Amino acid sequence: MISKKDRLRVNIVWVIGIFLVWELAAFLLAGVLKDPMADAKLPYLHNIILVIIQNFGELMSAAGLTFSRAILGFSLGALVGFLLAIIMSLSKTVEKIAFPYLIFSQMVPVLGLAPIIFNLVGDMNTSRTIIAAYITFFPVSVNMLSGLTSVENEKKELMYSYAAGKKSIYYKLMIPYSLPYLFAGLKIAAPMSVTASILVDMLGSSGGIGVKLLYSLYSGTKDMFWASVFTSAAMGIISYTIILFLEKKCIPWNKEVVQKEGA
Amino acid sequence: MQTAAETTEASGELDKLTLQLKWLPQSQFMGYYVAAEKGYYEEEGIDIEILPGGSDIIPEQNVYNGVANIGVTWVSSLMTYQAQGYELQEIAQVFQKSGLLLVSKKDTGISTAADLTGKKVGNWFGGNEYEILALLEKYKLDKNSDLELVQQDYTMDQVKEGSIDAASAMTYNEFGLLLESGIAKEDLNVIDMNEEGVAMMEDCLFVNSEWAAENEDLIVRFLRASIKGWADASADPKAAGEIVYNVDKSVSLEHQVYMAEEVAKLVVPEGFDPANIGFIDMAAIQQTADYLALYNKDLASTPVVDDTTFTAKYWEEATK
Amino acid sequence: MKDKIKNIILPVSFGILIIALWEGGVIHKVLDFKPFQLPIPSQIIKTLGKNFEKATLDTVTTVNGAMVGLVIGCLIGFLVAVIATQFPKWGYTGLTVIATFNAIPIVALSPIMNRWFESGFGQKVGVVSVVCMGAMAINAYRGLNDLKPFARDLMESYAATGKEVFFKLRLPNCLPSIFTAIKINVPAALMAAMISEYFAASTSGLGFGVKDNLRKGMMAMGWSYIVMASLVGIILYLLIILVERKAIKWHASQR
Repeated sequence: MISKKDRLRVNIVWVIGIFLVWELAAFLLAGVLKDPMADAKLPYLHNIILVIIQNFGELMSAAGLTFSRAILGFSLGALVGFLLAIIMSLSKTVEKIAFPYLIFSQMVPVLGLAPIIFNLVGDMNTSRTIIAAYITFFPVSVNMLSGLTSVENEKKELMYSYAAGKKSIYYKLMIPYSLPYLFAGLKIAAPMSVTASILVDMLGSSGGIGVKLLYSLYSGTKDMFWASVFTSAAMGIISYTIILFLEKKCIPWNKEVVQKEGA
Repeated sequence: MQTAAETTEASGELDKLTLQLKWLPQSQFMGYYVAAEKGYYEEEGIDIEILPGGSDIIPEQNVYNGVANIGVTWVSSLMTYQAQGYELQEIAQVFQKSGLLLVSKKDTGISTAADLTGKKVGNWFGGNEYEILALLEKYKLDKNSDLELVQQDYTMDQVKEGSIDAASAMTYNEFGLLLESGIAKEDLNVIDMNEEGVAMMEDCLFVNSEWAAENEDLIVRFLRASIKGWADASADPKAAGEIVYNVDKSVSLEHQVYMAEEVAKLVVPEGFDPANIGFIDMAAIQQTADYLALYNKDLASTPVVDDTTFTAKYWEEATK
Repeated sequence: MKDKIKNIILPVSFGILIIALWEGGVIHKVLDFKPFQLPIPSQIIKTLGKNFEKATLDTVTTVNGAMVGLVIGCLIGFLVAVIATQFPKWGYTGLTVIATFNAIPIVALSPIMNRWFESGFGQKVGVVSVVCMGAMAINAYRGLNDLKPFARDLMESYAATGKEVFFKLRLPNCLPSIFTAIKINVPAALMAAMISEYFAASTSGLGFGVKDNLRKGMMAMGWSYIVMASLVGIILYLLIILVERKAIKWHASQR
């Protein structure tokens, strides 16, 4: 059992450890190997942090815009992914028909998709949310489905023997049983929704981290580029932590979660 | 800006118009920003919205779909879409010259295009490569066997670190970035597409033909305001660069001003009458079409250059 | 046996139906598209036929990079999951760190990898590895730890060592999750490889084909590359399912 205090201490050690390793690597690259592109390959971490602090307000307002769009896209994508998984688990036929096409859907790049969505929706902002959701739904669907199909037949049979209806089997057995799977999917999808949102920032949005990234990349302002990368990574951690928190709230019976989080 | 906002509220009867840029807000598009800032669009009764471009934004698609009314793109790119059947037409030619250069460090020994043999040459592709292909053809170089033609990313790092020998650069942007990164002009060799006679036309304004037929007056008013904005911007690029910088501060003020100065040279080249900003030089358009037909073998049909695809009547009306 | 035939016929006939509607112009009519905005299947196939040799070479380039990256990424992800399981106190944070990588957009990752690797291949593998780590780490961790109630207690009551618990209980329990992760990672790896080719210093690969042609408005050619990518994605996916069936016959999801 790990107490909260211990967890905090562990995390602090991790942060310091990463900082030191990064600084050392950057020093080796720039100072010892004299790599001329060191500031593009791996700039000093303290430099990046400095740039973030200097441009904090600007970065935060851009991050806010991107994050709010990510939440919207994530909610929509997770909902669609969840429903798709339920439908597919209800009918093997639907699963067999739909699954190859889900893969197909994942292979259509945004560049090919965007004009079609724009044409259908006609509004840039709605289109962006739809595209973000589109990128997010897949891992949720796959994980939820593998959760639903992992329920042992004995359990289902037991429920049947109690004369439980399909609906109550889902409510009482299948969905609760699949929750850990669902959350594994959500944990993968949450940071992905941030990336998706950054990607749609680049679809002609006037603000957001994506615009910052693209612009700093294009104009060769390396420190701003790395600061933006860090901001997006930080958004990823936040989204991941939110899901962890929700997981603890939603599946308190999950022994592992309780154990690991040391409640 | 304050006065502009007030007039909008007061009259309330401005025609809404959206302009889709080819790329991010930068001095490449300074004419429109200057016109918006100085209220030229409002004077013409237009409520303008300028949509920035991006990596996955294709102006031709957006204008055709109706997401935007008017778009900025390169002529060669517009032509490929027209050849596919998109009913789009050019209404003004903003850049009179090509801004494309092929830049290399002196130590790579590329002083003329003939020296490109055996070298690694970069371009962004996606429709930006035709001038380079025309250049190679002129020097009888085979793009597959005589040299390695590769894609370059948005940065100029590849040329700096030497992983690419010669890289494409726009006079107003990447070339400036290279200089700003500390490489001296004397250490660089430059091949200019205009001097080599392989130039193709770049930034132009275009519309959906169907939409245009119903909005002729609006187009004329838009052009009048935009030309005024471009005239101001080209006369005082420094002020224009500042206006753009205030729209988006992601790039340094110095770079925006540099870009504004270089762009002005393309919009109003030496000996060009500023009153003719936006003039469509059909001979130059024809050369663009010829090169395009030569170097895009998969083109759906030969580009059509006449007044259905390149329409000067709005521009003539606006400059009367 | 009957089921197997059904498994193939259903999705295929659904596909044929869609393609027929698409070819017949029904989809275009409903969505108000022109054929040059979304090319019709016969046009895509014709274009693909003309360009088949190059398209195949491009596919091989992309798939190679994607697969090497997939393997490296999955190995790293799995390793992190194992460390987090065996050393819950110190290792668990590693999962968060790995998940963070999922939030770095490929568009940003590609230019960084461009600096690190001069070859297009190395850059691709780098990008794909980073993209694949997260899904594997998270899923494998769930599999290693989401044990059946009392299974561990039972093992411990038999005085099983940590090693035995790991190999006899955790690892088999983890297999289905590993397959789930691979199923998510296969399309993700291909997509990441393609996006990385948008920026790579080469002019080969599916991603370059898609971007170059779509940007130029050569829709049929662009879509023929998308079709190739989808075919490869589906084939790889079916392979994974096949292996999964053999490897975890005992699991409920396979019955």
